[in-house]
Amino acid sequence: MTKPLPTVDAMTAPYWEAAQRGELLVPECDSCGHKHFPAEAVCPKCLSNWHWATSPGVGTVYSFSVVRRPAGPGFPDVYVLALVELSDGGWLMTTNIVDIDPDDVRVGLPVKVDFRKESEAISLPYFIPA
Amino acid sequence: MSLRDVAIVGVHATRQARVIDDLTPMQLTLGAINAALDDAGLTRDDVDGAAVGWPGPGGLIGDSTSWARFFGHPLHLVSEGGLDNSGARAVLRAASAIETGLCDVVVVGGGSASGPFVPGGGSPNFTPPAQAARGPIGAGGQLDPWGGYVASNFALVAQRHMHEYGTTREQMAEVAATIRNNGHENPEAVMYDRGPYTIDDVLQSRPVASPFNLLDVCLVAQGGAALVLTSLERARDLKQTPVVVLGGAMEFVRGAWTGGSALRECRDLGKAGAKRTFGMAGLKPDDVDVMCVYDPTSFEVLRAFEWMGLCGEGEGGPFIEGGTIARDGRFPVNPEGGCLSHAWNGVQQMTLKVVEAVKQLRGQAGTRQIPDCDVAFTSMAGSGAMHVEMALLGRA
Repeated sequence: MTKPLPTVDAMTAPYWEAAQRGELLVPECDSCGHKHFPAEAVCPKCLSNWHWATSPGVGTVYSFSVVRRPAGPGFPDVYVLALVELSDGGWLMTTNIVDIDPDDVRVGLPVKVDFRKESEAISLPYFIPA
Repeated sequence: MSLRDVAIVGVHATRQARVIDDLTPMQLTLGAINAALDDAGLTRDDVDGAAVGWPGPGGLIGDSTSWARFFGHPLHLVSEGGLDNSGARAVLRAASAIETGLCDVVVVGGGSASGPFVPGGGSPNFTPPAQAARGPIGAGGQLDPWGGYVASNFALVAQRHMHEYGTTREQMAEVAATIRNNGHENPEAVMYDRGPYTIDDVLQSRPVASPFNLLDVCLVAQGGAALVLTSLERARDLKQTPVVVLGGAMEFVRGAWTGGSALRECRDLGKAGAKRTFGMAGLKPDDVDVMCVYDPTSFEVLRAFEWMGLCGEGEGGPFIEGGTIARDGRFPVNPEGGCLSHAWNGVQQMTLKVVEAVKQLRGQAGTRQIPDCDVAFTSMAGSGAMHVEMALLGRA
């Protein structure tokens, strides 16, 4: 059994298409420029429409938890749940940090996005040490 | 117009256990309602408002409108479900409705059990592995693959708090050991007689989601609770010493579980509510004699001291060190064992906080009675969930 994967829907299709090309997108407000995650129907700061912007996908670990009681079937026995603070505006993204000993993860660790193919439709934006 | 004119007149906590498979959720809930009404000296004929989780089958699960058919007369207040039926939030909603004249007697509560006829499963679903089955989080389930759940989301806040303020594992472990030792001595607690625990026991227990170990996080159990509220005027003719709502507030900063929980989003969560609550009561945080606060994790109790205003931001850890929250300490916390040891049962653990506060104020808490207990602070939810509700209680 694999872990739960997102469903490509009308709102998030461009995000997952870009992910397959190895590009990280983020909703950016048409009006105030605020970036948010996960995608909402309107900008949560000023309620305007938003468009997809390309993110360089680099940042630092804002916080993390080394999880040894997995969320459900299909998850690894040990994984690092993390909030990454992206350098392009300081938006926070929920992800997993991989390619590092979980005990070495620290707040402030520089990281960059690394896409991993999970299914035909979904490549997930993990983060690895930069 | 004042919440102080409304009283909690009946309370009941049902049996709590890891699994309650000899009762249906309906039987458990009815037991809680009837016992709370008995405690008050009222009957179902007196009730005209229900904020009670509807267990089904039929109707919308949680929605208390379905109860209207079972009281023999129309209800004047119902509640759509979930946390509106529990704890401080339900108390404040009911008290507001009574005070403004919408209704006269409100029952609050509900319960979880896994006996036969459980529609949709009776176990609490906010924990792994059932967490994965509760539906997509974020548009298209954008957050689902990352393995966040309740404990690990609270952990994200705690880890950042440690980084910014130097909060230590030992401080969290003192919270866990103290509250668990209270439960160890309470025959009604699911974890009765399972201790005692030392700080070191907590630090050595199995890692779950760093910084939390097994003994830092609450257990999952089943059970129920109920409260009865009416006007203070009517309460004076009833069986028990009336406990009034001195003040209260609710505070929400985002939908629960709609993103990884970040300290920067919830840093001030509860502060404005606490100011409102104590202002309404004309009291100071320092006047509190017992705290029945939400403890899904050890860390969350440290944060409560900060947002209540008992210490500065980031100072919760040092503040509680050295016995502050023990039953004989300056600010006793969860004398009956809290979520960590008494029970976390879905949503009605929020109501258990109010039940314990009322028992303490009435002087009915037996061997765990806090002496000279005049003011009790109760709260529900917290940082990981991005909301908090609180009620300050005292005798009329």
